[in-house]
Order: sequence, then C-alpha cells, then structure tokens
Amino acid sequence: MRALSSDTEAIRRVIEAFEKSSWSEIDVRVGSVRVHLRAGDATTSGSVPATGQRDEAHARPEPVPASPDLNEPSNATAIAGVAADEILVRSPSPGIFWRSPQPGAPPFADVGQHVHSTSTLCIVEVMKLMNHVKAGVAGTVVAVFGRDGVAVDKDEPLFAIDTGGRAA
Amino acid sequence: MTPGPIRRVLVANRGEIAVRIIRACRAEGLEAVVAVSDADVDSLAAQIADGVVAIGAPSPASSYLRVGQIVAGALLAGCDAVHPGYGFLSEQPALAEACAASGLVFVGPSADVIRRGGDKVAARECARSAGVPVGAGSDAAISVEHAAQVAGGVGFPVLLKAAAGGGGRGMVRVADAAELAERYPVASNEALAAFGDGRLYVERFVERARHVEVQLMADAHGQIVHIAHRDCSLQRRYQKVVEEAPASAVPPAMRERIADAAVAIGRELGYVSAGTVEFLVDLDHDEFSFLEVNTRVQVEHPVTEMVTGIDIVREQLRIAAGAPLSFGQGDVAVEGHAIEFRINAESPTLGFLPSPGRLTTWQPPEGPGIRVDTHAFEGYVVPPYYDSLLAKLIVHGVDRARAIERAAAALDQFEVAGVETNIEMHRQILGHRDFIANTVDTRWLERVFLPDFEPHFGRSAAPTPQGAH
Repeated sequence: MRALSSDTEAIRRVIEAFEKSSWSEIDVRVGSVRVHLRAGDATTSGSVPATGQRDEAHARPEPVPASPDLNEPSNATAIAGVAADEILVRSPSPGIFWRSPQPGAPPFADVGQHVHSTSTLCIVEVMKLMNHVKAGVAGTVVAVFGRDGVAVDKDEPLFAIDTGGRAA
Repeated sequence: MTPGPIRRVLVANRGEIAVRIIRACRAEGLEAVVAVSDADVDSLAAQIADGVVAIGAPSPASSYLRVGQIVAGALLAGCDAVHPGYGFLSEQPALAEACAASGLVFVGPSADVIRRGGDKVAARECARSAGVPVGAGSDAAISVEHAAQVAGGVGFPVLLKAAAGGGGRGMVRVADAAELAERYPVASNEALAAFGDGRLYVERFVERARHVEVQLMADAHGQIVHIAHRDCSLQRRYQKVVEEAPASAVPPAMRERIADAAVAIGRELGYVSAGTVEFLVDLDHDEFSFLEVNTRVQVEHPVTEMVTGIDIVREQLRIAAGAPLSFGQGDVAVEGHAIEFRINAESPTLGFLPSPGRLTTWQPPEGPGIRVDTHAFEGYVVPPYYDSLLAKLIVHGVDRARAIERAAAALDQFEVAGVETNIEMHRQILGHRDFIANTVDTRWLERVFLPDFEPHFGRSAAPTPQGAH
C-alpha cells in the first residue's frame, strides 16, 4: 500500500473544517500524521485559552501512541483469591461489555449493590445483538472486571457477586 | 452535492461494501482511501486500498458513526469525495451537509433529499403528492390516543413504525388496542434512543405481502431511470435474507406501474444518485403501496447488476463527479434471473446467535454465473463490533429455475469453518417447494420455514436483536 502525502495544506483544511463545525473532538491519523483537536473546554484540556476558543494546540503531527487504549487490560482487578461465597459471572459470548443501558445512563449494577438472580448486570453486545447478562444468583456485587465499551472474550469474568453463602 | 472532478475517494464504511467501493473506484481510475476503526486496520479493504485513515475505536459510535471523524479523515488523506456505502452515516443528512461545507463531494443525494426521503412521514407525503398509493395509516401519530384511533380506522393488526427508522428497524406489530397501548410508549422511547426521534406512525399490516423494490439512478442533469425490480420477500425480523431480480412473481403490467411510481417519487424528491424505492405488494388484491425510500446503495444491489450489466457503484461515482448517466431508460434490459444469499456469521440453530471469530477455512464457490462479494479471507478474524454479514453469494441463470440450480451447487461448494454460518439454512430454503414455486411472502420465513428448520425456534432463550422489540 502506497503512503499518502498528508501535507500541511491537508492539516490546515482539517483545522478549518473543525473550526466552523460543532464537533467536540476529532482525532484522525494517516500514516505517522495524527491530528487531534478538541473544542475549547477548560475542564478537559489544560491548554485552552481563557477565551474559550477552540484549542489548536494539538494540531500538529504527533507520534502514534505505542499502546492505544484498546490494548489496556480490561480486567485490571485481580481475579485471584475469589472468596468462597463469591460467584463469578462470566461473559456468555465474545462481545463488547456495556455497563449501562445507554451512553450516559447509570450502570445496571455497581460494587456494593444488591442484585437478584434475574437482575441485569450488563450488556454484552455481539454483532449488534444486545445480550442482557443476568446475575443468576442473589447477592452483593463485590467486583466489576469489565471496562465499559471494551471487548470481552467468552467466559471472561465480568462480575463477582458475594452470595453470603446462600449459593455456595 | 457539488459536482466536480474527483481524484481520490474516502470510503467511509467497512466490510464487503468497502471492498466493493474500492474496486469501483479503481475501475473508474480513482484512488480509494478507506476509513478504518482500530478493529479494521487489517481488513481486506485496508489491504487493497490506496491508503488508510484511522478514525477511532472499534465501537461504531467512536468511529464510523462520527461525522467529524469521517470529514476530518477525508481532508487529512487529501480526498475530494466521500462514499458512505450503506448503513452507518449513509442516510444521515449531517454527513452530506458536512461534506458540502468542507468542499468534499458526497457520493449520494443532497442532504435535503436524504432528509425528505429518510423521514418516513415526509416520504409518505412525498409519495402521496406524486400520486403513489401509500399504506393505509397515519402520517404522524403524535400520541397513543391518536395511534389507537388511526389503528381502529384501518383495522388491526397494524405496524407502529419509527418516523426516523428504516431498513426494518424501529417497527413493532401490534394485534389489538390493548397491545398498542402497552407497546406505544416503549416503541417511542426506543425510537428516541435509536434514532433521536420518538415520533411514530401507524400503518396497516398486510398479512401476505411481497417486498418489491425499484432501483433508481438519476444524474444531476435531470435524467432519471429505473433499473429493474428486486423481490426481497424473504426476511427474518424485517431483515432481508434472500433477494432476487427481477421480481418475477409480480405480473409485468403491475411491475410497470410500480416502476412508474418509483420514478414519480424520485422526480418529486429531485433525486440524484442511486436510490431505491420500496413497496409492499398485495398480490391477492392486485395492490401495491409505497413503503420507504433508501437514499443510498442497497446491500442487494448486485442482483440488479447481474441482470442488467450496469455497475451501480461506478455509476454513482460518475454521477457524483457531475457526469450524465452513461445509459438511458431504453438501454436498460433485464437478462435472466439473479438471486443473492446473505451469508452471515450466525447460528440459525441457536436463535441466530452471532458468531464472531477466526475463519479457519474460507472457500467461496467459483464458476460461471457466480459472484461473491466479501471482505472475508482465510485467517480473518470476524470482529464482534459490527453486523454479521460475511459475504453475499450472487448467482445468475438464464431463468429463475436455472438460477436456483446454480445456487444449490454454489452453496454446496461454499466451505467455511471457524465461525457458524447460515449456509445450511440457505440450502434448505432453496429446496423448499414454496420457494421454488415463488409463492413466499414477507412473513413466510418465520411463519412457515423456520419452525420446521429448527425445532426449538421461538421457544429458545435467544437474545433479542436491538430495536426489534
């Protein structure tokens, strides 16, 4: 595959388009040229001018990050040492782990929350199909292993539930 | 749309259609750059394109559905046009608008046409003013009371449809007033969540209908032609499974009336580019009614190409560049019969559970009259983020019987391992007497075929597809 020339003119056109748009953020990359622009917002970007204008500080070729977010481990919490009364709820299929019914909504279940066996804990989305994963047991959520929007494998632990001995 | 010379096209899509568009660009002497999410960097489209733009995380909402990412990607890659394919942003006026604002040619109709054609209520009004029959129902049901009143007038069962829906999404069939009262608020909320628009309308449910659609092609110089009919009656949950051209179950005289209706709607909309007008055909009563307009290339466009020899995607690119149509109505001739089978990574025996994973074997059939549009290859990992379409098998024969014969042989040759597929289901559909007799309707697959094909169908704890309820 042939490389494309992403010259300063192309970058200038991207900035121009961004400035007259209502997009909150863009982040695109061609080869080693990455353009990342964010609308001025003092709470999310440290380099925004006080006037609240759009932030062009990132509009320069940036090195490609060596490890994009996608590659971060999704179950950072150690799973070793699950207590005897704890049940692991595993993913029924490969898919994408969603903690809430829609973006911005509160999660189905959080640590410390009591759940019933029929409670939905999360959605595992596989190829546009939304699988509601049920707790299967009654108890208290003690750990959430999946990260919202990140891929999980079949049988990957998603939640640990403390059944208080009832399901042991 | 601003017609002008096109040199390099951004393909703002993935899967088989991205591959299809890249090849059409090449045939037109254009460069093709493909926009890829992090999940698609090794895709076939990325391998064969002249360039690649990374547009974000795998989730469509982070990449393929973001107008800013697509437009910025096109500009950064030095493209002068954007082809949206189907699905994703293809029917979002915002993309067409943003392209125009940045001096990019959008390969499709204008934002205004997309808006009027895509809004189901506006499209019904447009069909009516073009003198085309629309299904009995409301133009906009603003409340559950109004919906109940309209439904009572046209008679149950009715379909509740999202005004902003389409492609079979955002539809609920209700049998009586009680069910309507129960389902209306849920459907409205779902439509609001899925399409950002909670408006619903009511349409009479035709029990035994065939889905017939007309391919339109129009240029920016006022020429509009129809290119044959497709019959897409084989559906599961309003999603097409098998498509054919021509619509040979429909008598020629009626086909002509349907084609005229499609052209009238296209003219009323001021249509430019490739588009499809869908109709429900009630053969028992010799009636047809307007269903919806799709302002993009269809998944099933190859069956039309196979029987007419017209390359719809190349023609789209030429029209976008301001060229006149390369043919007129008199040049369109239908030869033989074509059937398309959607080969999905899913398990019909497990309630159509999607089946992502690595393709350990991928041997599509080859031979005269056989075409396979696909992005799959041996070793390809089917990602879990997108729909389950793996390939489209299209066969052509001198008539429908020969096409079925050829399809049977082609499906037998099709070898896939590593993921589950619906190939066996297609084999059995081909052998079914109703399919051979061409007497199916849009509910046939679910009502007649699947209960026999799969003993537990309908009773399994199968997951629910998004938006279908």
